[in-house]
Amino acid sequence: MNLTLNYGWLSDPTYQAWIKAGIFNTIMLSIVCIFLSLAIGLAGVWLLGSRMTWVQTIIKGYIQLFRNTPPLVQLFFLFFVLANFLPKIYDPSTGGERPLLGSFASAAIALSLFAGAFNIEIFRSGIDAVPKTMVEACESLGYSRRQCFIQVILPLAFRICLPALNNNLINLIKTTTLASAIATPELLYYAGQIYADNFATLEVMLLIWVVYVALVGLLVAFMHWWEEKLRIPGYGH
Amino acid sequence: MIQKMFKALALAAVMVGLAACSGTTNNLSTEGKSVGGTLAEIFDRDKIIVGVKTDYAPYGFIDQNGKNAGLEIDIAYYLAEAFLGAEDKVEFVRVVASNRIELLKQGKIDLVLATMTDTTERRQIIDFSENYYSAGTGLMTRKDNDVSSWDDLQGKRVCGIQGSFYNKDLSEMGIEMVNFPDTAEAYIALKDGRCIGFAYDNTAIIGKLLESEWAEDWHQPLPVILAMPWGMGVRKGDVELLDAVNQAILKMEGEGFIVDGEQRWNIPATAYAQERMERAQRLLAE
Repeated sequence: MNLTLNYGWLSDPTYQAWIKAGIFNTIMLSIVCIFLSLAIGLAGVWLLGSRMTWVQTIIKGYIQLFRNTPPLVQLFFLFFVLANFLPKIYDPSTGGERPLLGSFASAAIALSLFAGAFNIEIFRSGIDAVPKTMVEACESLGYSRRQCFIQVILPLAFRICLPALNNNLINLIKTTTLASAIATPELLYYAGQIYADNFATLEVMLLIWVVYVALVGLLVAFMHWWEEKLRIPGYGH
Repeated sequence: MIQKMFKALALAAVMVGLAACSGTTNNLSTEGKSVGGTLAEIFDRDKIIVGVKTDYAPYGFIDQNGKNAGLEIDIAYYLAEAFLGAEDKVEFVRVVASNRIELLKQGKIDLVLATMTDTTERRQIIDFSENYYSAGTGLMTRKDNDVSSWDDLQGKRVCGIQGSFYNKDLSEMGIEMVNFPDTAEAYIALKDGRCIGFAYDNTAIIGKLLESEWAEDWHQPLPVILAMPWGMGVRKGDVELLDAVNQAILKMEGEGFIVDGEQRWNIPATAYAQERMERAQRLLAE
């Protein structure tokens, strides 16, 4: 077997700039999406417990819509269809008007909504696993619904659902590659151009692998550390 | 634990490597059918089979009557006339960029005449005829945009297609490229105002500008850059056919067939076609 790897393109300043920008944008998109989707998950699961049934119906509808459709379709829909219903803003660089949401914003919103729908369900699984007696205990102590949710249910539920949440956030980081389809300049977007130019598909793919293994590895390490930190001796594992 | 992970990773990498290697050897070993006798075969069959584009107006497309039409189709008719004495002795096979070389290698077509750029990479797999046309990168933009040179685009967003060979050159000129996977998305983005223009093959933009939807407000104001020649493809080592095709191309160019063809298909006259005609006339006179 004669396997020679050609990494000559790495010395090209344009490609270096592209790879740096790509990694930066991938990290930024991942961070934005992780925080937004967590916020959506928490807000959603809070509203699911609402006594008003129409609020519950809306949240359930949202979950169905975003969990049951492909994220790529959601991206295209937001970027190409919905953009035309939103106000346009003046763009000095073209002298004309452009849609309010650029490719990065569209990707951040679409992917956050996608992962957020899963996060609601993950948080719900955690909340359902909190013993009913805990809720009764805090009710009998005179806690309001919000106090009980924030101070008793959520801290316990969060610990229970961390492994599942971990999975979903890992998936979210990997799903950010889809944003290249709407020209968000993340890592895969630039990588594709580099291997098209140099026919160095394997070499570029290996680089992508290394970056994603490292990125996801970082997240996993942090989540495990956090899980360990939050562990209550005698509760759960 | 860490060591185990590394081992697993290394194994996976090697497997990917193996897959890639076997891929290339396969490519090299598929020789297709016997080479050399294609011209004789064309005479036996009394018909030449040409791979053409059907989605690339006005070069190769399907007209309102459902028939192949365009400048390259006219060239194919010309070749049939030159080889077999009648221009209807040609059969068209629809090809796209990703399968045209494979179809040629398999012997399903005699000749590729499908807006194919002559590159050294492709020359390792097939043989190219004399170049008969040239296409480069043009910019499609709104008529009311004040763009008169490529330098005007510095720091501005320009739509493009992912993987195009000119994306790097344009980026290095200071243009902020916004590249989409396919032309459909790029044209929508252009219309939505996400970029000031669309950098793409000037020949494809010419075709697009013939459509009523785009004809009125859009144009291609900039000189074509990064021009690359088009050639017809034959199987490697198919010398007789290649010679015959080259002679026909020279005669065709000398007669001003391409220059006239541009006019016939509403293609803005190119300096390339004019120069090739003059060159051919000079060569034929000698």
